[in-house]
Amino acid sequence: MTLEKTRVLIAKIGLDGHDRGAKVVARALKESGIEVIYTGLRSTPDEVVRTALQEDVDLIGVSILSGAHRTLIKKLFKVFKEKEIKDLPVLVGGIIPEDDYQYLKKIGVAKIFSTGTPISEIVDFVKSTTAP
Amino acid sequence: MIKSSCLDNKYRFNELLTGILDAEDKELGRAISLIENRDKLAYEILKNLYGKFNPAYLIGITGPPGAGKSTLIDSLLTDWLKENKKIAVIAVDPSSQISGGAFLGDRIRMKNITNHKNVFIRSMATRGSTGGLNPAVYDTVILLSAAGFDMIVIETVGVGQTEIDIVRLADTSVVVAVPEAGDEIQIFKSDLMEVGDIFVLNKADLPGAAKMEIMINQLFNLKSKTNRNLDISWKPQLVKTSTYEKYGIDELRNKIIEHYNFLKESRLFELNHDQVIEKQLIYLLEEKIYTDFIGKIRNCDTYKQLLENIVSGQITPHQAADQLLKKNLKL
Repeated sequence: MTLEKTRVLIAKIGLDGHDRGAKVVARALKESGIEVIYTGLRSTPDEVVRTALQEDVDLIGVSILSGAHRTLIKKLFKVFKEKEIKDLPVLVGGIIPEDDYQYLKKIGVAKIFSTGTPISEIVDFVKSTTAP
Repeated sequence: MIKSSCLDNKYRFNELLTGILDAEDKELGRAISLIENRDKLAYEILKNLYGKFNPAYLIGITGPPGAGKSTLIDSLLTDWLKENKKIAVIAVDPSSQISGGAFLGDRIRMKNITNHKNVFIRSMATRGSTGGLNPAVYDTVILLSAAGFDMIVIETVGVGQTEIDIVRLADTSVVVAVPEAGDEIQIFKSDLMEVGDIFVLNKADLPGAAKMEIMINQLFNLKSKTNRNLDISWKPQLVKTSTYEKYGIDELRNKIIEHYNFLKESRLFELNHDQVIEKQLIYLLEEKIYTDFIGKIRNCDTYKQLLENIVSGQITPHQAADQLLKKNLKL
């Protein structure tokens, strides 16, 4: 009887009302046996980090379609630093131009999944990243 | 996120314990995971906390999906927090029976309180255990009490028997109904009517609210709930609320306080806590018997032989169960 479960936070940061993608990913993760916590729309980086700590998640998936990903993800990692969080992988999904990949990776994003990514690819990545 | 092996050395353990007592998000969050995972470190933590705290006031909120439980909690707590109370919320949602995963989305409705420094919210999946209830709830309540929370709100989806167990853990049980819940037959069927101290008719701005109000009130008149072994009774009360048109929340809050005072004056508060402790003990025994005892029986040859005998029609399952118990149980 295994009781340990992978927990993932799916977060929407910033002024962005589009969460179909986030919900599809959340559902796919749930169906693969993961406990998914969803923040709902328009969260701040502070809220996301606090939620991640209270819920003790193994990974955060951030969905941004507003174009503000550079600023918002940078802020997210700033809060990580304040709270001394080191070992929590962050994935980013949504509409992310390829030109920004390098920058996001440089500031700490583990992986970027832009539109059109097969859902199984995301599930596999989450599973392999959070495997004990 | 944390495995017990990373925390085995004493310094880190003390750090974790201090964080829990200071109600730090990180340490509390991790400790609850350890409890949920039945990690041996969790038992060490609880051993260090047990008996050293005042029990928090437990409010259980249950009702069908979409009744507005999380939104009500959000409204209720907004004002309580102004009184500088420390409040924790445990939001329980079902685990998928098929994948074992869960979608925990109660936080979405609690946007007004999530940022408050005195609030701790934890989403918990039921993790289909033998008793139906996630036994981690009991230990989490102990942990949160030790962390100094005055009040713990436990939210569960209530349609069946198992969720009612969680509500019975609470000092005050609030059952949330909505106008579209169906006719009185649906209400008769529901066990929820038997566990509520306070009933909320939420979304009372919707059509059908008046009819539902009459039906619930009629049921109250049929029985006066004799409370938990003592000869003092609390008459269940109905409050109409609408988080959309913003009314009834103050009344609900006052009713909860009224019930709290009733519990304190009648000493039912202490009695309930004793009963909860006994219930947890029973659950733990059941769980251990299931894993240790039944697990062992399933691996023995007699079990396999008897199973074949049942399949081939030589004996009944009842006979087999009796034989297995007689052979293995020494009391």
